[in-house]
Amino acid sequence: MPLSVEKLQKNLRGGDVAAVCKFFEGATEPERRSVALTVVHWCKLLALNWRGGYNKKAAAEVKKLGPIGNWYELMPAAHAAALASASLAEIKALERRGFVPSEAAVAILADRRPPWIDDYAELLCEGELRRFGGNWKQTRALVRAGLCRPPKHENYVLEALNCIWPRYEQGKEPPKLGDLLLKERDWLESDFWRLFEVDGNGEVSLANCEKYRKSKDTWTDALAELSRRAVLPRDRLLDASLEALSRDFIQFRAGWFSRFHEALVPTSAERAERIDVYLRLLASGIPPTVAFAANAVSIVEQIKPLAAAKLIGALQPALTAKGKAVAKGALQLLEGAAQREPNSKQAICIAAIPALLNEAPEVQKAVFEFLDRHGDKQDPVLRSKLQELEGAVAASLKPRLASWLGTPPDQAKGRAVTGEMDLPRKPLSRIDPARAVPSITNLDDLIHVAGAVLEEPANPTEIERVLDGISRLCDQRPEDFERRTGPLRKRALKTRDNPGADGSYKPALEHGLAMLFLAWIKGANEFTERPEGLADGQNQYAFLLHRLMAISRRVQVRSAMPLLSAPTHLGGWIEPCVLVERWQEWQKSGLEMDRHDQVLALLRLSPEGREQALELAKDLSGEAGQAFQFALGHEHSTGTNAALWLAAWRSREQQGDLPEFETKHPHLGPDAGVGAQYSWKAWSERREFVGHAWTHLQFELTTQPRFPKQVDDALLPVLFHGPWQTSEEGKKNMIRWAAQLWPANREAIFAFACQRLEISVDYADAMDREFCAYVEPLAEPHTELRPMACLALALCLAAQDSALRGHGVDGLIAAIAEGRLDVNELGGAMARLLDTGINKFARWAKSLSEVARVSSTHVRAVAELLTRTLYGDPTKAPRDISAFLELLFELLSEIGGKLDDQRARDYIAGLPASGRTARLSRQILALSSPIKPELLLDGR
Amino acid sequence: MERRAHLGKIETLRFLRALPRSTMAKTAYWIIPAGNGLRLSQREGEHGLRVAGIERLRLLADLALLADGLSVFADSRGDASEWQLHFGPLNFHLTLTAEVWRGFSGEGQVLADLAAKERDRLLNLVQGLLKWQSEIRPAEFVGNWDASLESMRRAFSALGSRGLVGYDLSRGAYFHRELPFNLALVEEIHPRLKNARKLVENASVRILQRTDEIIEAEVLGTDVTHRVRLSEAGDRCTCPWHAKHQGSRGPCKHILAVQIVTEPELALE
Repeated sequence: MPLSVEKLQKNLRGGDVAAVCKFFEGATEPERRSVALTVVHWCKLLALNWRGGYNKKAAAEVKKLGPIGNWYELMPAAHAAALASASLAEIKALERRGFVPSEAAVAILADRRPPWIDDYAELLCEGELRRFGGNWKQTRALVRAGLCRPPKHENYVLEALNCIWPRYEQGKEPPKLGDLLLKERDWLESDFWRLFEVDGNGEVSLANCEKYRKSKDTWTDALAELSRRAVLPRDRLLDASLEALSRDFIQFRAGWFSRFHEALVPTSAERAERIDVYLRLLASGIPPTVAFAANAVSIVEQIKPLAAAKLIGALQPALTAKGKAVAKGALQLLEGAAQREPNSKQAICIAAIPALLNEAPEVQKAVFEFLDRHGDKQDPVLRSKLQELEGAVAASLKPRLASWLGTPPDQAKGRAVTGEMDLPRKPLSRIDPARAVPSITNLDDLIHVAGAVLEEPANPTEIERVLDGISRLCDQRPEDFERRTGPLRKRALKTRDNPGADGSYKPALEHGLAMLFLAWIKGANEFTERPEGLADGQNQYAFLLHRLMAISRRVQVRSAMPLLSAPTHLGGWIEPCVLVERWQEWQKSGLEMDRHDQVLALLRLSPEGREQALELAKDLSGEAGQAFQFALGHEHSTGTNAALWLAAWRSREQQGDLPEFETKHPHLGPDAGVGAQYSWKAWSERREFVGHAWTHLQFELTTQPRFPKQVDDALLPVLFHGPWQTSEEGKKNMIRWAAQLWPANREAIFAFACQRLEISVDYADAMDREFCAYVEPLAEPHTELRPMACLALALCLAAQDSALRGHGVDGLIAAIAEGRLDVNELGGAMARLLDTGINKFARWAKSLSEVARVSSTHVRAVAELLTRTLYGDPTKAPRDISAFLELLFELLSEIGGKLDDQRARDYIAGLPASGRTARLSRQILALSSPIKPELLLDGR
Repeated sequence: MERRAHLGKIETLRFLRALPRSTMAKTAYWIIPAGNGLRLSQREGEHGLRVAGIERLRLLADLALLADGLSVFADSRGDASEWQLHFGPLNFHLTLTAEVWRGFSGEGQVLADLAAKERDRLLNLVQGLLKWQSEIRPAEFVGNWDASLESMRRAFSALGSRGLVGYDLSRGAYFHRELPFNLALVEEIHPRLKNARKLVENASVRILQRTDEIIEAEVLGTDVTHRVRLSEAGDRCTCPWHAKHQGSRGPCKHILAVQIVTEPELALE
């Protein structure tokens, strides 16, 4: 008898799974198939209602069709019906197919017996492995009922880790994991072992379970207990855990297997049986696995010592490992062999020597101590091997090396840098011809460069070239102008009208450039938005956009004139004589200059060449001309145009107060008549979340005077302190361009950067890619490292993200090479940050050691910087202060100096007197040689 | 590619061990000389070599323990690079593409070579002479078949794209080896080459000016006309693809189409 569609629909709309099962009971396959379309349609409708909750298109469709409010409750019955009537392909196409309760699935498939049950079970295992969710229970029910074979998919074992637990019931004690496993006996005896073969993922693995489940009933304990009860074979567990460690699992997940192995408490005999596996694990790339294996080997050695030859072969990878503990552990194993087999001492010493490749001085020291105990200083083979690795030996250990090579300590090789230049080297003049920016001279070149800039405005110099080119060539309108600029116009329209990848923000720079290009090409006003709106506040970005608007007003009417503010040299600088020429051309034309253009031009004036330019500027007229002359060095009283005169004043005096200006134009904001004053504090805060605790850097920076509510949109030095009510996402290019607005004073930019870099110390984030633009100027040759620059540099050097930290390293290297580093300023900032006690600042040791590698000048500068950093309170020192001390000790050893600075000596003497810190403190304080001139590396 | 650096054992290990374990997507580094070794930088320097996906180099770290030293080669733009570890007479070569997601299909640099018709004749002739030689230099074959060095070079480029020869940077010579892929399809399926040929077939290319120094042409695009210029100073086009890549990924389809039309060796039937 055919199945009744009306009855089916009634059951589906009622959401009654039992009724659905009964409906299909005993039906033939053709009968089932006859209603499949109805069922599938219903399932898709429910899925649409689900998607309508988060997808606008789906929501619109649901509204048209009429929503089904209780779609979630109806899903189980719908999918049960699909299981009872649809083909496998149809089931596969449905979303959320695992909704069927396990008992219903078993009943339906036991009744239907389709030929594809095995494939259906595999299908249930597919999909992303998640901590919450998964169809394991349904799959297990099918397997237990004998309806299908166990799926081969690895999720069949991994999902068990979380899905084996029953649904949580408040107030009810959950069953023991061991008991749950015993209920899955068939799974336990076969598929369970695959848990030692599959890695899992970031959410689901044995390691994740133990760490994040927060239950005392762990898989480790449960399996160990089942082993004790002989349910799981002990030998197999021991072997499987070792095999897992040989697989390519990541360190976090591999760790579970070594801990589990130890939790089984292997006897010495059991370990001895597995010695070959432990020896192979010594070559693991995972340091904790190597440490685990070394520990096991040392236990075996106590009952069954290994032949030196066997040990040497197995220990080679560990001896040359990067990790300190691994290398030292390997040396300890060799120690035993050397004592047992004196005849093999030479071979053992030769095996130990490659451990000198480990950069840690304490490992290298352990090697020399080993050699001193077991080696023969007259052995030419050993000496030759040591000579090969001479360059790797730390400075503080050169004397020990020298005692082996038979050379006096003074002659031990230092940082012999090939082709090292004399440092510091004075940077080129800002207006050196080598740094000149060539102008665009023809329309073809302009179209070409404009196209490139619109695609990727990453180079501010190129952007400025294009603006200047458009400004001067906008009157060039050959017959085929429209055709030649067609592609650029099309692209500019798309850029202007495209709101951005996710619709959440408009990329202001690209938007602004597109509008300018369209104004030039079409000869019409294309600026449709307020600059402050596009720039999310009154700030330097709004100034940039005002400037673009001003240029566009002029180019629309094809008024070709030089752009006053176009840089003549890299870094945003303008050669003064060239600006005078431009200004004169404007004056002669009778056209009104744009004040944004004037202000920017004055702030970009290079300090070099002003005297000559003043000579040429005698005929400049009007208040603007006087302001320009004042900027060049001529004396005038401050005029009425605040924006212009502020630019002129700040072109002469980048920092500090301007009393005369403040009298004439009071209370305009920071860096107007009153220089911006920055004060900051940093401290650590302990935070906890879901059982995890960590220390967080808290940072606060204030600027005085405060930014006023309204600011003239051309008052650029003040605008740098203005609000920016958005994130940096996608705005790296604009940040980079704005850094060239006032190249003589970037303190406001660096101050803003410090507030953003606070989070970069704590964790790496995608936004670090944008933050890089704030700190790129640190490496520019004319950036002064004043207090905010130094603070930004200090934070950058401690950033978690390697690329962001790299900017700090580049900046410091360049500053030292060019003589721009003020050790007191940077060291002072670092000392204050060090006093927060936050251990993340120990990253400075790594950053500074990279800087020190560059040259002997950098070695000395970093040693001075480290010394200055140790001016704070030793009781607040971070846990890993020893990393600093170790670097300082090595650098002082390298330059043959001692620590003369009394404040630093007092700091070191005041550090906690235990462990590595105490040892290094003693070593530093005991350094007795003053710097010998003949030992200075650049004197060799 | 030319050699940019050579390091001894210790500096090699130091450099490779200092590489970051993981980086954010699309992060690039510049590798520059520092002291006796190399260091990572975030600044594009004069002697810098750009490497994206730098974690790919970590492959060399374990091998470096046994190596005598490292040589680094890069092309003039410093995009793709080759890293050679030396083990006595043996070398281990690791070649990196400019970006993690980019392949090696000549990256467009050999597309013009693939377009040449004349090279088919030479290609068949040269292919007949391949006998697993470890060093082959195109100049050796110039006298054989009345072919120019440039033609011979193009033929070898095409053989390289087909996976039939490799190039050893340290020896400066090709060698015969056959990859187990049907790379002859590259020429058939490479989208830019296909599209360029289509533009030529559809008569979308119009030469505006042609001198010994420059060729200027217009190529019809979608709703717009692109302007192409070929010159010694560099080729350029007004299309967005060229504007974005500036030739670093080889010629765009418009430049390629103009090359096909204007260069005798590249002319189609």
